[in-house]
Parts: sequence; structure tokens; C-alpha cells
Amino acid sequence: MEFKFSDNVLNLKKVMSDLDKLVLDFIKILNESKIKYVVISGYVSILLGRTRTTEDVDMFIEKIDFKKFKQFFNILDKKGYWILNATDIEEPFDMLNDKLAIRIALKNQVIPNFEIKFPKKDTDYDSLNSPLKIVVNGKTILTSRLEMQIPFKLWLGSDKDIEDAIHIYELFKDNLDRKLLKDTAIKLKVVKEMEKNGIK
Amino acid sequence: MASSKRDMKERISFVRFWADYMKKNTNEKWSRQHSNFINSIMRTADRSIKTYLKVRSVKK
Repeated sequence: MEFKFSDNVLNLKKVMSDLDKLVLDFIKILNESKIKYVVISGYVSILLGRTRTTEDVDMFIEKIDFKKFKQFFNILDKKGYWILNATDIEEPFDMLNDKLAIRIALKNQVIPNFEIKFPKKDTDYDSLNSPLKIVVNGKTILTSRLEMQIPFKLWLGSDKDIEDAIHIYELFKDNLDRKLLKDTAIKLKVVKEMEKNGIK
Repeated sequence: MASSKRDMKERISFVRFWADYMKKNTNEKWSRQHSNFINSIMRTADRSIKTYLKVRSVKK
């Protein structure tokens, strides 16, 4: 496996899947709308080669006002997306402010969809404000830092999440910031789970 | 050992095996297999959802 990992930038070339291409198209809309985002959870491990797929790509976006949301909504509509769990423009905005997720997919499709939330916890803000820049074939995807992703997955705790954590750790264990990994594990109270799964 | 624990242990062994395979092989080699795998699941899901939407519209 060939990659470069330094200064919080992970650079690699690979054969992209249709899911990767879909995510990159969606990120283009977020960039066009000037909305800060970070991709978290399952898709990060899939992007990095984990052998599973997902029905949703989880993301945090920065808190935005209604005017900016309306612009985003209009671009989504123009580019062929719909919001699955809302009927008008106000409802999804209210949902985001109520700390609920909205789900966006291509029109006439339900999966895969983008599950978008405003950040809630300190660790959510940390992920959004200090992302890892993954550059795949020259295209950028901002994700949560791997040192935060691993303990977070252990905190979620399902078999699938534990496997995601181990996959990322096994691939990048020589490149991780051990202090950040340990501090995040302490914050999320998963130090024992880390030890149990051989994550040091 | 209970069977679910044994299954999990086996799955984790495979996760480690695959990560090791990725590390020892070129990006072209592992990522071509990986993208074929992801694409095939997505195509199946797409067909299923289209069939579901079609059946639902007929029922209405």
C-alpha cells in the first residue's frame, strides 16, 4: 500500500468506488455552498479500504443560518438531490437545530444517503475544527482524525464498529499521534476496550 | 467459547488479514478488488430499491 501521511494530510491513489464518487460529488456541493463539513464514522473506514458498505455517510456540518441553508437546499435540488425525512424547507432546518439528523439522497433513491447533523458534543466540534485531510487521486475529503475515529468507533461498540476501529488501527498504527489517541480514549472512557482489542 | 464470540474472533482475524494484505500489495491490486466489491453491493441495493418503489406504485 502506497500512501503519504504527514502534517494531518493523508495522500493516496486508488481505484475509486461508486460510493467514493458519490461522496466527492456531494462534497462539491458543500464546498460550493461554503459549508464547513467533516465526514465521520463508517464511510471513513470504507474509504480506507474496509470490506463493507453502508447505507449512510455520516457528516457534521457547521451551524448555519436559514439564509445559508436555503441556498444549500436550492443547490441540492438543482443538482438532483432530495431530503428524505422532510417535506418542506423549514422542517429540515428545524430538525438540524433540534440536534436531529437530516438525510439527503439522489432523487428517486433512498440509499446510500448522507446523514447530516450539527455538532453537539465537544468531540463533534473537535472533529469539525481539526479534520484529517484525505487526498484521494488529488481530490480532498475532510474526515475526523483517525486518532479520534478509533476510540469513537470503540465507544459506539457494535461488532461492525469494533472491526472498523481495528481496520484503521492496523493500517495506520505507525502514523498515529499516540497522545491524541490516548486522550480521546480517556475522554470517551474506552481505555479498556482499546487494550482488549490490541490498540496501543 | 460461545459461537457468537467465536464468529467475532474469526471476523476480527479477517479484518487483520485484509489490512495486512492491503499493506503488502499495491493500491491498484487491493483497491480494484475493493471497488468491485462496493460497486456490486451498491448495484444490488439500487435494483432492490427500484423494485420496491415500482411495487409500491403498482399497489397504490
